[in-house]
Amino acid sequence: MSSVRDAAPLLAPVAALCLFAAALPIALPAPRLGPSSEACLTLVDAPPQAGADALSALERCSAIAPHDAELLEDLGAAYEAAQAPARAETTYRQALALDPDAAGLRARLARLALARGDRKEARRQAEAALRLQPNRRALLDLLGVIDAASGAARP
Amino acid sequence: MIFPIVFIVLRLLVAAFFLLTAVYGVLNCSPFAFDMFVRPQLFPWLAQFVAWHHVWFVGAYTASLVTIAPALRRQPPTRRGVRAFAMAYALVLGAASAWLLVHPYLPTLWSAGQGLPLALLSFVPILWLALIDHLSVRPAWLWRDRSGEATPASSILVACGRAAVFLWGMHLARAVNLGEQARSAAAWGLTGAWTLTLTAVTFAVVAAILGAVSGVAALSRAPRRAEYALVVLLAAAGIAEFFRRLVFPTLSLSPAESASVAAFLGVSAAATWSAFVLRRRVPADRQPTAIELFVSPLWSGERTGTALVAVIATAFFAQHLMARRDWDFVVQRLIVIVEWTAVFGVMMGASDSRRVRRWAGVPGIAAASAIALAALLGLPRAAIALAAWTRDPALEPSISLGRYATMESAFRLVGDTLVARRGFDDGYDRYLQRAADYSGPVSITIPSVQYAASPAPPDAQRPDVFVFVVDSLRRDYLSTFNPAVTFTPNFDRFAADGFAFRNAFTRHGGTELAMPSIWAGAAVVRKVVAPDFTHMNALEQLVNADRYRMAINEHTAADFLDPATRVTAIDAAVPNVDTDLCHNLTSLEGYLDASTADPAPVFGLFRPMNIHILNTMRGGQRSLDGDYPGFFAPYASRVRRLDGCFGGFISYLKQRGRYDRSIIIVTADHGDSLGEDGNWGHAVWLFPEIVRVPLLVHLPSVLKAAVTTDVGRLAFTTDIAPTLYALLGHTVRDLGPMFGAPLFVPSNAPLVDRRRESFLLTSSYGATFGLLRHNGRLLYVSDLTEWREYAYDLSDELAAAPLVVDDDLRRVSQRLIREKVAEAERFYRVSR
Repeated sequence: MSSVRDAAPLLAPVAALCLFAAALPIALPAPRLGPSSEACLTLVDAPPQAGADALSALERCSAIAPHDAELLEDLGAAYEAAQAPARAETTYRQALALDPDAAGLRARLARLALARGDRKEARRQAEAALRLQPNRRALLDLLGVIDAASGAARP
Repeated sequence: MIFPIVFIVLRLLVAAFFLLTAVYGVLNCSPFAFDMFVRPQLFPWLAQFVAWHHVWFVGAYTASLVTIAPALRRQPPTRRGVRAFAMAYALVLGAASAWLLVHPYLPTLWSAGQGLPLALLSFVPILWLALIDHLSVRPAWLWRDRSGEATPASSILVACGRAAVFLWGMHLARAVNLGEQARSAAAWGLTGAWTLTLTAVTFAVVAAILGAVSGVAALSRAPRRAEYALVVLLAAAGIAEFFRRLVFPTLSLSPAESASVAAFLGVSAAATWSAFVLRRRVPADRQPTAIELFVSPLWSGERTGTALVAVIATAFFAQHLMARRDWDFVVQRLIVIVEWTAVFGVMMGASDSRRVRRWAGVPGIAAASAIALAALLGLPRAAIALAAWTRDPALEPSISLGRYATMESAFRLVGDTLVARRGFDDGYDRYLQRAADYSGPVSITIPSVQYAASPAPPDAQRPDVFVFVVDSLRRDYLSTFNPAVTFTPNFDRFAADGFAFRNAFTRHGGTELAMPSIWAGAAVVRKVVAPDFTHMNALEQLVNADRYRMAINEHTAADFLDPATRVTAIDAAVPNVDTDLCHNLTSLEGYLDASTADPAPVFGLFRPMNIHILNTMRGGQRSLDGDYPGFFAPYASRVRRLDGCFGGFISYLKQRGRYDRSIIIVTADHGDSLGEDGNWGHAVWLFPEIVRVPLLVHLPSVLKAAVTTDVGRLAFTTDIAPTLYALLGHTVRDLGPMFGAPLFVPSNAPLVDRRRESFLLTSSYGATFGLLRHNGRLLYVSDLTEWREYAYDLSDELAAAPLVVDDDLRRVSQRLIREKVAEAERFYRVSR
């Protein structure tokens, strides 16, 4: 009995140490930002081929990962393929807001603007793309097309 | 008998000498530490110490003899063992002194395998002296008095509680003073809750450990003596564990090396401190307990306030002093440990054990531990709820804990210890640690690689090539990339005349791998700088193939250039750390003027160290020329100076008619942390400001008119080599994702971007791996040195935004990092 009483002071600290050893370091709960996005995070590596399924996958993922410029570019391209140029342009602009240095996006926007007759916007975007990709023949050709369209449009 | 103060001073000097010898041994047994600290002679005093080590040894030996003089004298029969032990010390160390005078040993040690034995042997004299002290000084309170009791648990608990509250208050006040003024009330409230909880848990653990020590001691027949022995052992284990876990990994020591050196160090330090403690005079009317004796500078409770102010002031001053000089927060963490121990010691002395109820603290320890632990477990959930309610991601624990750590090293230390922020699983952490460990018998095979698919046509242009890799140059200190910069007009004009790549990165944090990767045009692994490196040294191959004459100032290249390559070393006599772009350029101009008759074009490569942290921290961290609001003035003022010298060189080239016959590239091997989140330098990190680099390119007008590029594309410094191949007329092979790609293509050729690829970034010096995706807008880092993972959105060119690392991002990134590491190991045929 006396030895139990002698050991009593030891029990509480040892119990506390066992508790600490079991609990520390604590693991932070994994933050969950929304629905599962793992598949969407890898979509950029292998974008889906054109088609209704691709469009729906891209739309779903762009809602989950709205800050993915590449995903939005793919979605814009899918809208273009689906003959929805207005939605494509809106989507490209969203992507451009995330990545203003994307010359490819600006070239796409220039073509869409030209197609709907906004030559000023088309030129603005093409020139911005050319500042990022100076001398690029494809962009110079695009500017030539825009200029030609402007010339044709003049009375 | 010698005066106690003389004894302490001499013994500390002796210990410092042998400790420094051990440090040199440690630096030698780690190839990384050797290359980082010793080879470039970062500390000139260390070189002096090594050169005169044998003389210092004799001095330390003589001083140690003075401290053990009483033990060397004739002793009573019961203590003859002490004398024999002291005599043995005098003879063995005397013989070692004589031998060293004839054969100085330390200067012969140069990255050799004897580093570890030397380090361990250096602790032997310290241990020996401590043992002599313990045998010769036998205070009555310890050896003869069996009535002394163990420390009451209540004393421990009260001291821990007081220390926790005091330290929490002081450090929180300091954090508020140093922290962001724009933080919300919720953020500061959460900061207070986190830090209080972490501090409380820390001291609850201390109380439980010491409570257990005192409980075990109370069971023995001489409780005070048993408690003293246990406390000494505990101190030795604590010191050893601190160095094993937090210090030696940052020096890239292997686990076995870390464990052995840490064990010797822990025992030596605890034994030396114990030797001092044994000499303390204990007043007859106040018998302190063993824990009080060991940790407390005061026993009477008097002058407690003065002692606390002194400890805190000293600690805060030391933290301030070391904040920009530290290596991976090692010294700052050590300061925190010493400070917290000292405060606890003062509090122990202030709580008179005679006035407290003997076992009142036992349930208290249990209750305090349970409450502190419950708070720690509940707080993350409360923080997540608060973050969701306020819609402020900065309150999310994985981000907010990191922010608290940046404000205070104390929070960093306890936060890292008590909270696991990593989500490493499936052996991911072990895999990366193994991948980063190139100590021991690791072999790699350097592949034979050639960028050129075909030689340049005979009529190809062969302009001069000048590559300036300014060590640690940050892109946001150039006005080209940051409109707030007003001190780099020459770089700005140069960029406007050429190409400024807005999205350039290094593949490696730290010079050791970053420079070979520029030479090779490839991501590399450690040990790549071997004689076989010439097989993949793309720039050297280009220089030789196109018959350039190389004029360089690049100290890392000395290790791997083929001796047959024609090299003129510019400013070769200047030590690496002192290399100065201005001096380099003056010398280069002299070289160019003196060799105008030589028709061979020039290939120049320079890596000046002007703005390396070692130089910006020198001389009291002073600006060269005034204030630079919003910038780190010592760094910014040196960048201004570089800009002036660079502008002068461009004018020189124009005057000589060489400017339009030159390809000129300005970049950096890596960037630098200049106070972001409390970090200084680049160490083992891959923070955005370290992996982002400037990249400016000037081309002769003929070349410029014929090519196109994408200045917004993700570019790497590994692209420089293939770019030069392409510009000089070679057809360049696509060598795969480990390699670079030309930044310029003919204007009608398709441009390949990197928006859909992932790239591995690695630290030169530690187990830190990064993944760059989305055209360089997403950076994910697994830092196995600090056991944390973090991610940044780099869309804003000037301000990286921390991202919440959720499970999905972690899983995808870890998988990709693992794949990329495996790819690199396959490529270099790494064999362990």
